[in-house]
Amino acid sequence: MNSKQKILERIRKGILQENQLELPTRAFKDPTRGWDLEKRLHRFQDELSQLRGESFVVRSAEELRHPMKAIVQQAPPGPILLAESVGMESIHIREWICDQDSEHFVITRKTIQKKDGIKAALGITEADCGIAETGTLIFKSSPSSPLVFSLWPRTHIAILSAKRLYGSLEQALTADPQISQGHTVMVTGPSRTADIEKTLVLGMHAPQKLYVFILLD
Amino acid sequence: MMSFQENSQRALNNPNLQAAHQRATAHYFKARERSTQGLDLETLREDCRKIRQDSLDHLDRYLLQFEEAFQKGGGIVLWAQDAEQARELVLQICREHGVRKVVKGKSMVTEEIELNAFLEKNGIGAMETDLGEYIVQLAGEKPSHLTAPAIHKTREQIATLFHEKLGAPPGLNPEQLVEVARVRLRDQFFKAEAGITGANFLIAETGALILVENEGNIGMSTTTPPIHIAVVGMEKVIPRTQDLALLLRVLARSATGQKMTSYVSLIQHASEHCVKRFVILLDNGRSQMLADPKMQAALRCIHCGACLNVCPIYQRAGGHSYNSIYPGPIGAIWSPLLFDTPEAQELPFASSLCGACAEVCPVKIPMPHLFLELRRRWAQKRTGLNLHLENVEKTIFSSWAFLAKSPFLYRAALETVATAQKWFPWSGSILKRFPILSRWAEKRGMPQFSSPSFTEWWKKREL
Repeated sequence: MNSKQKILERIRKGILQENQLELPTRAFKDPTRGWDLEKRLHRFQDELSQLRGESFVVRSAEELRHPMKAIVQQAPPGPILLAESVGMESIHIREWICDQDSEHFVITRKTIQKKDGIKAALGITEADCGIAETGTLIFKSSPSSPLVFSLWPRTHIAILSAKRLYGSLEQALTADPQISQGHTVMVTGPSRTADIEKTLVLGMHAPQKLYVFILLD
Repeated sequence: MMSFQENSQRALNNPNLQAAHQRATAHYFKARERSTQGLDLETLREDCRKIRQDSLDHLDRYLLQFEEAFQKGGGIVLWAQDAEQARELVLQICREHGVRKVVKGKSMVTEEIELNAFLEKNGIGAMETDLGEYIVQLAGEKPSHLTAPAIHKTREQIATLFHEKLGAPPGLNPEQLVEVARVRLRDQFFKAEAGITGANFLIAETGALILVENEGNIGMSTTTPPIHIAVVGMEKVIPRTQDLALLLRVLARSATGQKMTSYVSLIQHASEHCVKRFVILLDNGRSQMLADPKMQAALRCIHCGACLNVCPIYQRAGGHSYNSIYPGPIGAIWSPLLFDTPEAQELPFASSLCGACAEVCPVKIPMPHLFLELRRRWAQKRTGLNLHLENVEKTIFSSWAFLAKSPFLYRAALETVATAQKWFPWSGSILKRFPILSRWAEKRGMPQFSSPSFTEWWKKREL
């Protein structure tokens, strides 16, 4: 008998009562059910700002350009990891993101090398969806938009379509069951640690700064 | 090895530890209260208890379901009966893939199986990447808390440690210390040939590993090195993805008072730079806990550490006093069940039975009841007698009730004792002479009856 069979046998002996496989009923009510877009936006921005992230609600790609460029100029020198996705393409970031003489240069999945991760200054990616209740962004790994683009850099700019801002994780999972398949990372605020005397310090391993642009369409 | 009593005595005389704990606890209580405002916490706790109990009731089925779903994503699931098997499996994977360097995400289970020392012995360097674990590893110590491993150290001690071990300038503040660690560890993520982590949950329905963290080191360890190995206690499986939404609501709030941790990874597939994933499911005594009707509830634990944060004993004695990788109230139950050392067997006594742990537990583990049962077993093993002290207790309390119901008898009894105390001043130390009570009475005296008594004073008082 191999280890697996031995363990399973022990478990079966140990289980107290052979219950019917009947999932227990849940009494907790999703507190965000019925929230309209305005409420969801408000809550998302509020939560994110408490976590020291920043958010901007914009109506068009034009409106996004100015504040985003300002963030790029403030970022430390180094590569900008730029994801490719339908939403991102429509904004044409690549064409205007860095000036000729800037200390920044754009890297995409086609040109990225692992060593870029050590110095990555900025990552620009599109979130698959968001959760208002906790100010969370959800990123699914895909060949054109790797998760490391959201994890490696010092500064992370995320773009989120307001259409896909859900109230709670329950709602996001219902709308897109793929979230718990493949590889997904949920991001709630910048990287943080409180391991030294519970003193909050941002930017332990992943981004120190997080900016979210919410696109109304 | 020193007992809990000796260790805690030392901890009480350590002003650094006491100061570090006091600062951390005050912060936790405030944060937890803020994060649970307006939330129907009681309903949520009951739901979470049910989910975890259901997971245990059908553990075999859920594990098999998880295995199938995870393997559909191209990963491999391995089963380990004990710590030794788990270590060997990790080593085998490392050898097969030429791994000489691994980065580690914070994981209690790898501490439980003492993986780091074993890998080092076999020529594989294992670097902890969670800041708290990194500090503890640099200091050559063990973690003292489930979620805050370096909680016992002050910032000054950590600055000195970084100065001595890493050559950092002396007297750095927390921001600067974090920067030193970030730069040092960043390099390691890219040099490592494998990332080793635990997991907070396994979802049976979709075969996803769930990893919860704040720093991003687990995100790095699971995306950047080419191999990912997760060593996971087999009790951690939950039935469905929707269950995760409920459990995540309580996990961060209970652990640190956050509504959600900065990062939650859901991993079912090889992805990014990671081309191969392994999950090692560990039994190591868990099936025995499962088969123990009175102890099974302890397996519902989601390792949030809330019971440590609220426990008056843990707060004073500190994690290291428990001499176990699982400290605090839940550790005082897990340790004697998983580790067969005499010190671990005494840990259920490290509680005043105040019940704060059970009250805060997000999956409602009735810890004080489990302490009592473990104490009974310990006594039975030591004395060979099957002591049912609940009968003695019942007799004591019914005699008390009998006295308290009659004002005359009650007063007479009190006066008798008060008079005896006056005539025989040495009676205060009498408890120390009883063999069973001597240890308890060592640090405690009999209270002195006041003279005049309250009743006398009440009668004579001037209105």
